Amino acid sequence: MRRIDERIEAIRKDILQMHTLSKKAVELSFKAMKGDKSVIREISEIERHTDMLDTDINFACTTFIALFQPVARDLRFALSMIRISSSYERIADLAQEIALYECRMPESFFEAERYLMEMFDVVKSGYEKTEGLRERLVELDTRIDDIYVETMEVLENDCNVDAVLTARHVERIGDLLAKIGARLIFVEEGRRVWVK
Amino acid sequence: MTAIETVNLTIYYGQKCVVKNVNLKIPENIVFAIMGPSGCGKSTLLRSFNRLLELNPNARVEGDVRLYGKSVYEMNPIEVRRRIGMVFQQPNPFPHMSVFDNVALGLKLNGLVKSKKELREIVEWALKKAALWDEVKDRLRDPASALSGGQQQRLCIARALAMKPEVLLMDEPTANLDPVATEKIEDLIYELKEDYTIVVVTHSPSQAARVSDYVAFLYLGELVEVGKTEKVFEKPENELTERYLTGRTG
Amino acid sequence: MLREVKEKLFLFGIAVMTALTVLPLFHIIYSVATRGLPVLLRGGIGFLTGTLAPPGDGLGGIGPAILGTLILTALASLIGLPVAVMTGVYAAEYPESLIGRLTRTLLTIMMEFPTILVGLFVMQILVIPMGSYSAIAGALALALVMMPYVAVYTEEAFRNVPFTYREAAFALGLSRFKVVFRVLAGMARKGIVTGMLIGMAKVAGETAPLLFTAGGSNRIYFAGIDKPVGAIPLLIYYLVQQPYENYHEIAWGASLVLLLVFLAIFLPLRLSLKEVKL
Repeated sequence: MRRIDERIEAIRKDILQMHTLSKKAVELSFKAMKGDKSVIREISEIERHTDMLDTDINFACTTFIALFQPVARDLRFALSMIRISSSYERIADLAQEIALYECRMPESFFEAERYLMEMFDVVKSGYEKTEGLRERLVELDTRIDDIYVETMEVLENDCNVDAVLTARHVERIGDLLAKIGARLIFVEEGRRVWVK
Repeated sequence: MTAIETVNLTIYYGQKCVVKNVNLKIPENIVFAIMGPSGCGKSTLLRSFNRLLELNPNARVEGDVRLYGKSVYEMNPIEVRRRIGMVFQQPNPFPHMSVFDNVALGLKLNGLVKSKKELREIVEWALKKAALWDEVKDRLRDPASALSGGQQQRLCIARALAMKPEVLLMDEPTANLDPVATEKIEDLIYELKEDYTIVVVTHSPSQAARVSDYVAFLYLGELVEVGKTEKVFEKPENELTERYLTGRTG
Repeated sequence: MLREVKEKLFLFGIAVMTALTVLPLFHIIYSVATRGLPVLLRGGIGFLTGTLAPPGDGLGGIGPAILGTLILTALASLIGLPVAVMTGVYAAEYPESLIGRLTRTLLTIMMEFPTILVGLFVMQILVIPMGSYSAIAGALALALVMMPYVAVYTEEAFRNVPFTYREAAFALGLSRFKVVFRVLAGMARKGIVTGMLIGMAKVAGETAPLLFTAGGSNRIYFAGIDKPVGAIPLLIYYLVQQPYENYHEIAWGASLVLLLVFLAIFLPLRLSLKEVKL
């Protein structure tokens, strides 16, 4: 079934590119958080790029379903990629917003970057196999949530809107990555899981 | 490059008009599907491309059909049929001839080969191209009727390919085959389009979806819609097309 | 109750009618077998190879008649088959043309034509100008009787080839001639051969066309195409009219030979037809 495999490969490639782009965006957003605002242009370009990719992936998945009436894994794949693509696009959006905020985050907050980067890598490995994916993602997401809670306690006294939003966005990004992992498990194993 | 073009093509069977003013442009090296409910003129339209319609004394053609720009009515019908091969709904390898002879027939009788060796090479090439060689290489002398339905249809494809046509017409090629054989033939069509322009008539919209790059919807002899398959199946322009595709029409 | 009785009566009536129809055939076979077998057994191989005995004295043989039948059938086939097959092909390929339609009608008429008139016709055009009976005249008369059958069978055979094969052959860019003679003919061959065999078997047993054309030959095996030649039916006709007892016996023997030849061709033909469906 060369025609079907070719299309699936093309969608896969685009999704992995989305992954790389959104990871880069998050990396850059932390730089911006630390004060380096020169990255703003690059992040904006990445955000536009992910928007376009999202549209392309949507079209590819829709026509794939329309033309081939896929079932089983192929169907799960097509449906999931639409939603995963949307999640990556959201991540890039959030990263861009973070970069535009003007605020100072507490030191302990920056540890979240490490966990986020690790989450990205774990998710990437999920495209190959999903064993233990859920456990690792839960662990990492929990760490990020903990940092978020801590940071919020510190910020309670500060009332800096940008800082609060930054913390919120970072926590969101962690959630989105966890959801991507859940969808990958759905594609591979057909199980619907909560990664929480 | 346009491989086949029809210009105001209208076809009558006696008094009855079965194809009404059809204008189509079929690009080369793609799979072009013609879909529509049964009896709406699809097969008739297809047969006008290679002038096979002339076998029916009641058929009358108005308008023009052009092969790479030249009208097929200005060419010798024999030449037209050598450049345009055809595969039929009912697999029809000549039953009294062997597998080998079936593929070789067109070449031999048209004097297209100069030696037995060349003949054998082309037959082998054609059978390989039709994804049948592995299954019949030890049975070349067996009668064609000994093959299964799917194999017979691939044999017919090999027979047509041996003539090295530019265009391959397929009239509901999998209508009489089981799903596994159908899939094999659909895969084959996908492979073949690199070298040939393929026009497939089908009464199954899902087959048109799976197999084609462009699709034309013919209803009661009229061309209702034509366009890239991806586009037509995602959002048809014409409401009739939409009703046909979603199964909400008679 | 009454309905059941009526039905049984009806069935009984039909059975009786069928028996009456078929009975004569069996009676013929029975008579010929019982009267002819002793003759054959008595005559042995010599009966089949020898020449006619003198009147009233012994059996001799019907050799010239057998050879004559073979020669006549062969010659008639040579003359008639090619023409008949071509005619059949033409009628099948151009059914709408004037000649095509005429041919069909004419062939049907010819099949029912009184064969004695065919003999008279050939006598007029060949025997009288040549001045004698001859093998060629007999063969021509037989050919004329044979041709309609062969032509009609041939036409049927071609018509029965499914249209899809015709389409497939034309789609390969073959000319009409090649399509008909190199592709379709192969598929129609069973029907054509059947037609040929039926035609040949039929004329092998024909008498009337030979009456005024072949002449008959009882002692000479084969004198030449332009000379008279024997034939089994002709011999039987001649012998039965003679007053000699031994000639009558020979006639029965010849009848059995004729019957056996006829059955030998027709039975396998009919049986094999059941298997072969295109």
